[in-house]
Amino acid sequence: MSDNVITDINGASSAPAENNACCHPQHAHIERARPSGPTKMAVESLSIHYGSVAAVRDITLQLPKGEITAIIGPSGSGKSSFLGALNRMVELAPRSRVTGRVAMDGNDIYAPGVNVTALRRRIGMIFQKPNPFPLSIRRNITLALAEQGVRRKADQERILETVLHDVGLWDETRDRLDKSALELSGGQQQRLCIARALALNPEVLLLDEPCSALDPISTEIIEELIVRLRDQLTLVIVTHNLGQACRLADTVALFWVQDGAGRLIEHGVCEQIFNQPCEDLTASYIRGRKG
Amino acid sequence: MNTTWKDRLLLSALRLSAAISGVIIVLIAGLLVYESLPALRAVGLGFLTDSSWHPAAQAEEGAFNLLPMVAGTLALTLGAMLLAGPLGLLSAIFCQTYAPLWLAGLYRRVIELMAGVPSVVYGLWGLMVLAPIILKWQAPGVSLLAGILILALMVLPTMALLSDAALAKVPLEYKRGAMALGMSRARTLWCVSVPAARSGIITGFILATGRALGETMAVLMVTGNVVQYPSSLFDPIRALTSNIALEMAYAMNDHRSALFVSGLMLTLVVSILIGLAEFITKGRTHA
Repeated sequence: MSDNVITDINGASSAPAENNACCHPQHAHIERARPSGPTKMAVESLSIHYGSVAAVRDITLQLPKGEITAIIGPSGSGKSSFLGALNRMVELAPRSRVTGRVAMDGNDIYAPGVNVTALRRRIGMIFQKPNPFPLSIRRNITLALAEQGVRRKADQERILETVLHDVGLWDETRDRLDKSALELSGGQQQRLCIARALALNPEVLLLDEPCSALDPISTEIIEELIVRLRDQLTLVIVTHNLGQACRLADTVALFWVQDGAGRLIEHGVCEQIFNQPCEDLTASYIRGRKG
Repeated sequence: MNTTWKDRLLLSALRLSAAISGVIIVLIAGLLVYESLPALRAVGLGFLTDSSWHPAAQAEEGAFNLLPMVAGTLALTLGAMLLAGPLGLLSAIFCQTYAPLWLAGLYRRVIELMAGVPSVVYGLWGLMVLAPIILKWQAPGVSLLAGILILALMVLPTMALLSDAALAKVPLEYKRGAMALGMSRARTLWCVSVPAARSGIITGFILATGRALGETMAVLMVTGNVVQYPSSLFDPIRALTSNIALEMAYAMNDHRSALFVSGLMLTLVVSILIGLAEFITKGRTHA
């Protein structure tokens, strides 16, 4: 699938922006989306404020289970804030306020009494800049495991080996598991961070521009890894790289700043967004990126 | 052309100031050894084996065992660091994590103030207030314990401020990473932040230890200055530093030279400790 779309983007530069006598943004994904799996996370009327400044306003979006959703849009359109709202990391920012509803498997994650640390183990997060702890490779992975209740050495070792295999890091690191994770290259560090998140066996993985600090080869390795993870997880990736969104995503959501806050402009299946966008903004954003 | 000229000037200035500091240190060390030599020749191993410290101007007439004072200095420093090390680290952690901003700011000001109090004032307070309190509990009041408590107070700011600065420099990404993994605040702190700040914390510990080893006035005022191996916390003791300050005024010939040996011994102890610390921290790039 991804190959076709890339050709479309680079070749058919006459991508239609005019023939969209279609849909309201909120319904785009319902009408256009191919039959997708059950919803893993549902976001309804989500707004995020920092103090009196709105970061995003009134976002409604479903994340289908076992699919990759890419969030694209210009800087400052609230993509990262939106991502942070999905695992409640946004609450760590001073004076942040979240309104609306975010549900996972039908349960409101902002309901009183929700165990936030337990929630964050179910919803992993990868950051723009690789952030392994300044500890050994082994300890980077086992630290959170121990906290989750996996205390037996043998279990920890088993999971360590599994997740390092999963991210393709085992052969590169098996002989130096007790060396500092900071000695790894940037791409390896990012894969270690993904392995660290996977070790907790999460249901959802949020990726905030995971490749923007990496070289092209590392980027390709991470992208392959993300595609492989689709079977096990629901993934959400924020990216500035439209080619990456196109290669990876099943559905794409475009955020844009309107009235001083990030809004969801359009959400739909990847092919549709790139080849037949409903909104002029989407069309021009994608055209702009195509050069 | 102009730049090169300025560069050269800067370079010369830097070289000169580096050379001056280096030469001064070497001169002091040289003087210490030079002045120690007569006593070292005359007494020799006596500094370690003599029956007691009863110095005399002529080496043959006195006894020059320094070991009780080495023990006193080490006991003082050990006790002070056992108190100030954990306290300083914990107060830094409190400032960085659990304290509200206004309280952390206020607390830092207080600690900085503590660092600025002259040692003689600590000594005076120890002598007038602390020693009498200890006396009520166990005579004679002026004791190893009083010295430890005063020294702990004096080196606490070094430990606390340096740990605080080291913890403040831990990148936010580490904390966010730990939070995103669903790690508790306590675990994030002990398993991520403190190891990440480790080198700064150890530096603080070493500097504080150095200060404790070298402190003279406050220690002299509160420890009683009896030359003996301490057998309990309530025994008066004499530190190597106090020994120099106490006897310098009237020491002559070999006695005077023996005091330089005290200084040499102190320098040796400090050097060994710093070397040890370097050895421990080196070769471990991570926790």
